[in-house]
Amino acid sequence: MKIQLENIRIIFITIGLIGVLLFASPTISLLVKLPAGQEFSELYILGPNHTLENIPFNIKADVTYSVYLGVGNNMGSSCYYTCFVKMGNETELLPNATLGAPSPLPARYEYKSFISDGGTWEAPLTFRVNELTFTDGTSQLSNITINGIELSVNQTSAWNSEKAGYYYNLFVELWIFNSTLGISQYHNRFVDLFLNMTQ
Amino acid sequence: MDAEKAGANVTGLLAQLNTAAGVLAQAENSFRTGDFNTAATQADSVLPIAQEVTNSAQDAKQTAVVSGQNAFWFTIAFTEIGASVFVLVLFLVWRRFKRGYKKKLLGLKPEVVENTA
Repeated sequence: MKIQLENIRIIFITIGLIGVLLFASPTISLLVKLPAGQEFSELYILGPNHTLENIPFNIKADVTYSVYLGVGNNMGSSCYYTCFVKMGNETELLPNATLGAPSPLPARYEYKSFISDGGTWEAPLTFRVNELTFTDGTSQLSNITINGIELSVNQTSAWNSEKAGYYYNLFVELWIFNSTLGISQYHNRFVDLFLNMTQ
Repeated sequence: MDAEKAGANVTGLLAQLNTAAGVLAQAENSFRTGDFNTAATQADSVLPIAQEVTNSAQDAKQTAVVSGQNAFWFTIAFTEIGASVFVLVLFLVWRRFKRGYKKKLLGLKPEVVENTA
C-alpha cells in the first residue's frame, strides 16, 4: 500500500511538472528564439496562361510575345526586390551562379517590388522585336520593345549550325536590397528565355 | 523593416511602398531610354509617398513596441499566475486524495487466510 501511494505521488508530481511546462510555454517561446528556416527567394517565368506552356522560343519580328515574371519571398521578412531584364546573344555572359556575380550586360528594363514574407509578386513581361536583319550567317537585332518601351540594343548573333538558329538570351536577374549596407545586391537568381530569331 | 521587426502590421505600408517602387522603376526605365524629363518627374513623385511611408512606419513601430511590451508582460503574468494556481490546486487535490487514501487504509479489516503450508 505504501508503494502504491508513492507511485501516485510520482504521478501527481509528473502532472504538476507537465502543467507548469505548459503554462510556461508561451514565455519560453518569447525568450527562446528557434533557428529560422532556410531563407530563399524564388524567381520564375510562366507562359501567357500562367503555365509552363507556350513560353516563346521561335521569335519573329513585329510579333508581341508575352510571359509572366514572378518573385516569391521566403526570406523571413519583407524584402525589396529589383528585377533587371537584360539581353544578349548566346556567347555573351550570363550571370555566374558559382561566383554569385550578375551579368556585365546593361539592364534594358527593370521592375521593383516590395514583397512580404511568404508573398509572391507577378507582372507581365511583353516584348517585341522591331528591327531584325539577317546577312551572311549573322542576325542583327537592332531594336526591341519591352513592356511598351522601345529600346536600341544593336546585338548580333552568328548562325549556330549545331542548334540551327540565331540565338539570343532574354534573361531576368533578381536583386535584393541589403538594408545593412543600404544597397541592392545581386541575389544569385536569374531566369533565361532562350530565343531563336527566325525570318 | 524596423516596424516589421517590432511586430507592426506593415501590409498597408508595403502596398504604398509598392506603388512608389513601381513609379521609381518607371523613372529608371524612362531614364534608360533618354527621357530625362519624364524620369525626373516620376522620381520626384515618389518622394511624398516615401515621406508618408516613413512617418507611418515610425508611428507603427512605436505602437508595435508598446503593444509588444504589453503582450510580453501579459505572457509572463499568465505563466506565473497560471503555473502557481495549477500547482496549488494540484497540491490540494493531492492532499485530499492522500487523506482519503489513508482513511480508507485505516478502515480496512485484517483478513484471516488459511495457512496451506
